[in-house]
Amino acid sequence: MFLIDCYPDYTESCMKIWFYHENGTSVIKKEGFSPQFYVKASRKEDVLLQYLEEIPSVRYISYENRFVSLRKKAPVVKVVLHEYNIRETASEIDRMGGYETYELFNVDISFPQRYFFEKDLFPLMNMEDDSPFAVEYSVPDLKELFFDVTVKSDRIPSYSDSLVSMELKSREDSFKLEGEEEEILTDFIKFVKVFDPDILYSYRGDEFVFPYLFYRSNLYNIPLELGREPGWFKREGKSYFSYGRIVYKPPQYLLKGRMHIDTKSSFHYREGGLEGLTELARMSRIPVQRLSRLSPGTAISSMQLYEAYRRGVLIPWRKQTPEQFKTALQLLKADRGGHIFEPKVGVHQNVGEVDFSSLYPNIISEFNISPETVLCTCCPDSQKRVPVLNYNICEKKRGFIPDVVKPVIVKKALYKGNPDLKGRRTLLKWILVTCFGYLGYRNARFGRIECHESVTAFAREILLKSMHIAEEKGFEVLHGIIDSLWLKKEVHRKEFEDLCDEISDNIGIPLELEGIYSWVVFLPSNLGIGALNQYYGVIDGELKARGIELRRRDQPKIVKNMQEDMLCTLAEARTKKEFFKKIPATLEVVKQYVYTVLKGDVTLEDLIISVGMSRALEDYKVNNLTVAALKKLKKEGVELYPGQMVRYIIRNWKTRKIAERVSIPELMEDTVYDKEKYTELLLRAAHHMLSPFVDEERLKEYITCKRQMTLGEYL
Amino acid sequence: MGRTAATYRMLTESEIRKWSEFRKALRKKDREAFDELMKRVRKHASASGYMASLDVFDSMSMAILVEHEKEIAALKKKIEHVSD
Repeated sequence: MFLIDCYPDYTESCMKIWFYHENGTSVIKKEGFSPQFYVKASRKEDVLLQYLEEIPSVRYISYENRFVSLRKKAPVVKVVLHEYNIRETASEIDRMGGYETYELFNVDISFPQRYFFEKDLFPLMNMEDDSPFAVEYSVPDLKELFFDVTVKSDRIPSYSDSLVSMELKSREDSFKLEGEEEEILTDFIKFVKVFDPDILYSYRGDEFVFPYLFYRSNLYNIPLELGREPGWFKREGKSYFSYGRIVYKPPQYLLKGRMHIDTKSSFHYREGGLEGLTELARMSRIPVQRLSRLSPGTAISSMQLYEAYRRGVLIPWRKQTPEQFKTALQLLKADRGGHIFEPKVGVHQNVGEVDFSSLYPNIISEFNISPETVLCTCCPDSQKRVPVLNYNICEKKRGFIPDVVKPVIVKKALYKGNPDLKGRRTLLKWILVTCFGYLGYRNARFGRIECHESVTAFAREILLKSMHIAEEKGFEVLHGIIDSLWLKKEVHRKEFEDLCDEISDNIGIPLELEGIYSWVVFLPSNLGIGALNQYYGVIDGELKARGIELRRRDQPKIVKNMQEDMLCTLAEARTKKEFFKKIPATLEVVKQYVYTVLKGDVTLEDLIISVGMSRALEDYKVNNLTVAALKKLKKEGVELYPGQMVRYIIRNWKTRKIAERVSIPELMEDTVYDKEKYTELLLRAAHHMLSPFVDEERLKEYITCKRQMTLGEYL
Repeated sequence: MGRTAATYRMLTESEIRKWSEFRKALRKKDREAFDELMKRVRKHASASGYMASLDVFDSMSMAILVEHEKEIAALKKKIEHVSD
């Protein structure tokens, strides 16, 4: 028997848990569960107690002595509720205390998490015997159903367009529901009920399909019930600002007792599939359906919350640890990222790339970096110190963050090399990538900026030390970024591997040989020196490119295709010498692309540019192409929110009529496009790749020249 | 994620900008020499960043000295070749 879903029932004030039996049936269990939170009163405790006595939703209160931070115990009032209205009650107490008298704990933890933490359970747990840390575990054979809708519209579908058909696909079968709209809708609801899938997959279900289906079924008074219990958990969409970038979060449509996974918007599903989601749900103790809509950061923070729960530490509602005062020099020294060596521009051969796998998490675990261990008050004279910053690290206690991170590192290493477990490994990798960020994130409950600084300080030291060891052994360091080095020496693979072993032993964190390049090109920046993280090459027979247009989301397909073809031509070269010989053929590729664009012989699909909206239409100050596209869309009744993608084709770059500048691919207006502008985009991208070898003006002349120049003339 | 203070590379760029008036008043040949020097400065931005000295100009000068030392060594080698 497996636990597959868990959610609160706010009206009955109980938890509902769904179990999956091996015979394929699922059953629901209702369980009484009293939520609780804690209050620490710095004064006016009598007012608090009086208030708590008066409100009916409080079942009882008690006095306890608990950890209110990772180190300090204090007396607190435990409040146990009848009703599931923690947030309302807690907000009222907070308000009463003027947002400072009462410190509240364990308030904003979701119900499923509370339940799982308290009962030591987790989603997809085998109820007979199981552990979230298990590497080999059985998973239930869940019944899956994919569905999609076809809407009667040759433009951008909207709610007013009627439903033409629905496509359903199970593992064995696939078919179509057609006919009258009303019939399709009732048939769909009936089918889901009878087929009884555990997982319902949609494409854009949250963003469009479900809101659309709700609208349509409402017209016929059909109640759209698709869960195992009636009712949905719905949430509105919103745009928000995060680290200088605007992000759009679509609305959410969650089912009860059945999981709705939106295959388009779910990051975790895209990256790791159901298998990865399962792994992460087990580790983070967040139900699959909810987890599929969250970020890796939320998953890691749930793991931290559980670890705090386990250690008996209360979870503050709002973080209270302020940053220590620093001098300007301290700040300058401390507030830095990883180290980067400027690359040596040009093409190189006999180059090996070596990487520390999961460097930051390994540092956290190896050097015991945690909010309560860095700058701890119990060992000011500790021998363990952060390089350069000289912060002391606790010698007596193992930190709490290292304990959260370690099992993830170990699991990921154990999954390595098994292609069947790729989904699991990918999601664990994402957890490790984000766990470091959460040390310094100001909203993270157990974050602390000094930890963040310590990790990067260790990383810089490690990279420099590795460089010194490599140079001692006669390797030339061509480039280095945070946790990777590009080393040059005319030797066999074996010698690179030996070097990795030596550095790994010396540092205590494994350094691995990513591969040997037949050749690699480091590109210059416009300042005339090597650009950071812009390179391409052939590593162990495979192409690898970073930082060029090919890898960028906002570039039209045609530009990416051209660069890919250029790379493929170059990839035929086995050595540096051959690389130079391949340049003429590569220029020929560029010529071909420019020629097709000028001739008008391209698929419009390849010209689409998608740009993320950074603000609402009325907030744009200049009339750029994005604005032109947005205005056109608005005329069609389509309104986009900041953070969403805008897609357009450049029609006439220079025209003063704003409506003429772009066309919207979904509107299928005509086949006009700005040949000159797209040629420019192609040439720019081509030059970017070849900039260490070819001058931009000459490249332009050569490619667009009517007269056939010989290569000799040209060079 | 941590704070979002200016990186050392950005500080270096703003220091270079500070000298833009000086640069403006130079003759073309001297301007080219100036730009060449700044290229050398940027080449060692990572070392300057690692040291993170409060005086950006100090690390800039040191970067130029290092590059000059290398050039002197290279030229010396060439002269030896000629005198042989």
